[in-house]
Amino acid sequence: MKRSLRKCTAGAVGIVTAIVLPILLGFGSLGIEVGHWHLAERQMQGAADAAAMSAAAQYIQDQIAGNTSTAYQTVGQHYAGLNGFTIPVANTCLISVSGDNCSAVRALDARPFNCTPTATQTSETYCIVVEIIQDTFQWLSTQASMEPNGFGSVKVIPTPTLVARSVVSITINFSHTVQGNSCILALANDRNAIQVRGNGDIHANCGLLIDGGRNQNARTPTINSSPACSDGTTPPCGGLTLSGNNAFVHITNLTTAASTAGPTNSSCPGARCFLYNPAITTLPTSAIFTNTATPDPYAGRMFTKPAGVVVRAIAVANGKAGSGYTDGTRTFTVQGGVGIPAKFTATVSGGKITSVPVLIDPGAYTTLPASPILVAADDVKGSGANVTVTSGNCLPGASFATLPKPVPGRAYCSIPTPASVNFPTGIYYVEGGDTSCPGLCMATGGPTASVTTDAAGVTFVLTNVGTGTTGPYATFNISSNGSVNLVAPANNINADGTSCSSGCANTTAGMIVFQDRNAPATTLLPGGGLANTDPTLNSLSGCGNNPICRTLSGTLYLPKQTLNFSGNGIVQGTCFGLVSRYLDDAGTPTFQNGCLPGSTGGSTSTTTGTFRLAQ
Amino acid sequence: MIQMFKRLLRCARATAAVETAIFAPIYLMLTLGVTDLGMGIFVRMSVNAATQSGAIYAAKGKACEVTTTSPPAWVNSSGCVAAIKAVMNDATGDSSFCAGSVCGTPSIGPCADVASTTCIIVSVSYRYVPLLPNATYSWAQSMTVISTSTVRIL
Repeated sequence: MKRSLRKCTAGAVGIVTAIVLPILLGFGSLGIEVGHWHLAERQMQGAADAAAMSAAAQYIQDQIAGNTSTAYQTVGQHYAGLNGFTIPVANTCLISVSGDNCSAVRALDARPFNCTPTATQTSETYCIVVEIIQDTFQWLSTQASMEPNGFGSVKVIPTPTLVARSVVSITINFSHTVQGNSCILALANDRNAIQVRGNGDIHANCGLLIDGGRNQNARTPTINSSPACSDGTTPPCGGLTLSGNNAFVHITNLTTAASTAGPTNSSCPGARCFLYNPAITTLPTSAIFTNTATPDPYAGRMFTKPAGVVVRAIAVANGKAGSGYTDGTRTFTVQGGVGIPAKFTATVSGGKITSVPVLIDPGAYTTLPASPILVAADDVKGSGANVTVTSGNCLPGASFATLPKPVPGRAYCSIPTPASVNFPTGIYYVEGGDTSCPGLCMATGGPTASVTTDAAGVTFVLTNVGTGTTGPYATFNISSNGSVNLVAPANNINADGTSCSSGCANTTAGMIVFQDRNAPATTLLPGGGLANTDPTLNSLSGCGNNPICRTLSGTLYLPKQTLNFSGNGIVQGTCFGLVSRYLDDAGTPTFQNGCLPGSTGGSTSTTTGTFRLAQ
Repeated sequence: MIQMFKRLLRCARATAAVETAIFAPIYLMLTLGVTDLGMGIFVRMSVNAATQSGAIYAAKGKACEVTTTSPPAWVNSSGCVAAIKAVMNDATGDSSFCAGSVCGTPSIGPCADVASTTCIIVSVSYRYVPLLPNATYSWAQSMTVISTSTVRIL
């Protein structure tokens, strides 16, 4: 029996099987392998979630304890391991508003993080990221089964790198419970946030609050990192320092974010630390609250400067004195331009302006009219008078001798008050100061002089010139022996003094002085106080033999700078408050009451944290 | 009889059918083996999904809010365990996945690594039976697939 091999059909299935089986095996095993990748990815994702949540639990615990450590990283690593995956420490990272330590994770996986960290006075959010990465491998020998026989182009079997990322967002909440009345809050994270020196003695029928804690002025990068406080203790540092044997305090209570009230032997409790009443009783430890943060009650407050330029001086244009005006002293309004018009007074004789104009309102222009400028008289009679004006960002040296009466809502370079003046209700913007007066200067002269405000209240905003944050910034000095009686607006008002119910551009309720948060900060308060030329020095002094000469019904808010007390005046008023970075006392002021809003006293701080899966 | 057999050997008809009959068991074994492997992977994924979902629910779920008192305790322990098992069933797409003792009772207690911390451990122990009898392939054998997920919650 001779049969051609080509014609023979016997064993065809065996031959077909021989050809097809390797291919089937190859694709079959590839399919299985892809399935295995999915399994691996699934397991990695679960491990990443578990690790991130565990790391979040550690981070929250650290935050509640006030620690800042990177323990969350080792926890992330440990729990990834417990759930089956070995990762380096750096694969667990933290994203906060101040940045992140996720460079290692980014290098592994370029996907953006689905995380928006935030920080406010009452809560902070962070994200913990855990990244697990694993190379795939030929779990079955698919490559070998495909390649040896040279099956053409089907050679490359992918080995993707599997990545799993888990992002857990953490919310840390801070809550505060009020404990009593306080009048002074020093924000500096320094042992002498409140410093009493020389023969200084703070008498306060209210409490002192010092918070160098987590809420403000924290040392970078973290409050618990080095450097240690000036006396070697662990931050937060904020405290009261009684510098010298003649420095005393007589207060109702003292609250600090630090674990001790101040340097040992020169703070409270101690031999120079007394109750306000009875003044011979040592301040009991029950009136000293430590480890208690006090957030800045005004942290959310804002102001809005008037836009543009003011008119600094006005002159009648040559030969343009006009005609037909009513004789006598008239008030004229400058015409044209965009903004609040400037006003001046001048004498009219024979229908013409015959005197040098006296500026009574510098206006606030976004676009100044081009000189010469028409003017309109208050009685709408007469015409033809033209003036020329000079302008600037603010009105310099507004002593109210040249400007007869303060006009609220305007930009002043400095306000050196005359001995006696009354400020109509409204907001006064003091921008930058000048050489003779660094901002708001109340050198009241003799005891009979008085600086007052309308009962509806005023706020002095101390800021810089123009937009941006370039200096200098205005400061304030209240000195001499005349009386100063300043009242803050009870509620928010507009710059011109009208009441504002909602959407206010200036949230200055309760504030007498509101210093810009961009003002330069006092970084160190020397034992002898700041130099007189220091641009961060504000002062309250004087009173001499007129001990009841300061009535401040409102808050002085200097979140970045120092307030220096000297003299022996009594600060009274219905509701006094001081918020400053440092308080430097060399005098014997008496504060008769205190009511810092929002936190009318020391507060108990509670920190809680929660987390949730974000990505 | 012998004649008949010799004729059968010489007969060239229906050879394909005969050959198919010979190779069919090989194909069948291959196909079933791959199916078993795939099912094995599916079971592992299901079990893994169950423990992970269970652990995440245990950590964050509404019915499992944890008090911070020491020792930590589930606020609503029985409701919590039932909810965890329901979530595990959902994750596998099998409403009776946790039937019997497949899903172990989730445990809450101190973590092994750091003192004063609390961990949740969710575990699943699932019996996997392949289509092919044991020992056909090394990968397709009856086995108990175990998965645990450990999450620190406090």
